[in-house]
Amino acid sequence: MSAQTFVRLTGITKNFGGVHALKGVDLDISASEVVALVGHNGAGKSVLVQILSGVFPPSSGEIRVMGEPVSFHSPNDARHHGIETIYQTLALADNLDAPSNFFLGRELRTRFGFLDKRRMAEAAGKALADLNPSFTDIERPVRQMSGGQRQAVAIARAIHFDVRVLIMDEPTAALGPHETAQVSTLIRRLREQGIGILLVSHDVRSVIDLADRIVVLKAGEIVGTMTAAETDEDSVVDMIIRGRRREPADGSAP
Amino acid sequence: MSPRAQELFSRFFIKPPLVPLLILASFIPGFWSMGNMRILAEAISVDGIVVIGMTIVMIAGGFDMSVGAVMALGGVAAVVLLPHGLAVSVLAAGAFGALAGTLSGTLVTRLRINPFISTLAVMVMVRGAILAYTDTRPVVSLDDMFLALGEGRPVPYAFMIMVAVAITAHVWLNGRPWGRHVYAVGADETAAAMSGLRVGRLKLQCYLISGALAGFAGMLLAARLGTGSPIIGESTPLSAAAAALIGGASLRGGEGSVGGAMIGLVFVGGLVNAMNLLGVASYYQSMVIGGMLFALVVADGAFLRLRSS
Repeated sequence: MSAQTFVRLTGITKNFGGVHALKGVDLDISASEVVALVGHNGAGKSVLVQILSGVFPPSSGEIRVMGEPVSFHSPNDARHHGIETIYQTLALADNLDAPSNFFLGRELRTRFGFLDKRRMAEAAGKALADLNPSFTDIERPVRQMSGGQRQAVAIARAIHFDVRVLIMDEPTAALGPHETAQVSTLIRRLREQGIGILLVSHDVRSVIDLADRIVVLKAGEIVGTMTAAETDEDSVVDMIIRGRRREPADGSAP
Repeated sequence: MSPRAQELFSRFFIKPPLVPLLILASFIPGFWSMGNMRILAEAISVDGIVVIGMTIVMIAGGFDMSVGAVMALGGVAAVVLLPHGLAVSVLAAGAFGALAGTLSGTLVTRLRINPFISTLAVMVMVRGAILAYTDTRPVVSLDDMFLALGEGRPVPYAFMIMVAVAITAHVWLNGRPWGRHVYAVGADETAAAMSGLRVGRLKLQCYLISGALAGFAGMLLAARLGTGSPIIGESTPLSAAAAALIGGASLRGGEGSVGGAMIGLVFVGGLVNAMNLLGVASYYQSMVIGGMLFALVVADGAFLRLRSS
């Protein structure tokens, strides 16, 4: 692939006590590329997501960002390297309003270190209006907002700051058809802007049309990588279940 | 009425019914007298400083059972260290409190022990230590400067200090990034951690502040009484929690405000003061405060619901 490789994972393992959640995963994410990471619940998808977004470190293996080896000690380290994550749970503080969630952990400050509430409300309002022009009443606790609005807050804060790689964990699991279509449009737009996107889902159907490349994880190992254009839903599902291709006769290796 | 006006009305008339209480209390002869107002101000100012710390801890999703024992610790430390100067004495009261708070915070964040149990353990340890040190006897001070700190006319110094602490805490909670982080941690620790907040450090800071304020409040009480007593503050954790809960805090965390807690404080303090004037025996007063706390906890619903995160 000619595009620049933003993130390269090599030999990533993760053990929890005696449980080997990841057994040596290699994964690249490049500019303007949508990679779908699929697999059953418990295959290790969310462990990989949490390693890549800095929630905890791998047991062994290497993470390179723009070719440089990095180690993440907190989600802030990953963010500093342009890796943003939208969690399935959205990771919003329900009691705070949209601007506070938008800037949580990287608040805009006045000269004296106080919250610059006006600037935060303006910036968050603009970013949210970009995603959804009808989303205006942002200064209320996000617990009072709809699922789509909450998702918009989580997405807006992930893409607002210089993002190279966007990780989306089950991006459409909690959304209706209309909102799912909006998220799909957004993913295509971000891809055009040169962002690398990792879509993580157990539902192949929801990601196969968006992805350039599909990576199948099973029991902590990558059991196959396919080019989306050259495969179909049945083949991917088959690989998720059996951990290999349906028949050797169908040809080209990845 | 605008939502803001509705909220204000609720704060003063319904949750808690502060204005109705004060109107009813007007029928008690002497309630609004200067002398009684001074007594009320003195009574609530020491507790109020503790309530502010408790509120911060509760917003962060915790609880501090140790505040009463730490008050006693602060009072005793202040009196014992007075020969080294007033500044040393005042600072030591806060520092000993901060140390106890740090211990609580460490138990909660590093060993992940439930806040009630952690701070209960610290409460018992601190109480045991000062009872042992003082041989269960109060320590007495006759230092003029120290005793003057417990005075102040017409407004007690302790009351002015409490107001200053409350304003500072309010501004920090609402105007600084730190305050937002405390609210976020209290609402959803996982979400806060995923947003890059240092959850453990923030919670530890809250317990440290609560401890320091309790120690400092204990020093002010000792200055007023001229005595550092090892046994004061037994019921303080619960009355402080009552004021914070009345003021909108929740045992589930993420809710509450210093302003609300101050209204809760005046309500609880006014109720106790009115009962004193009516000659209600302190045993019955305990029952009233305890019953109120029980009702508040039930209303809060923390023990009926599972945490939603």
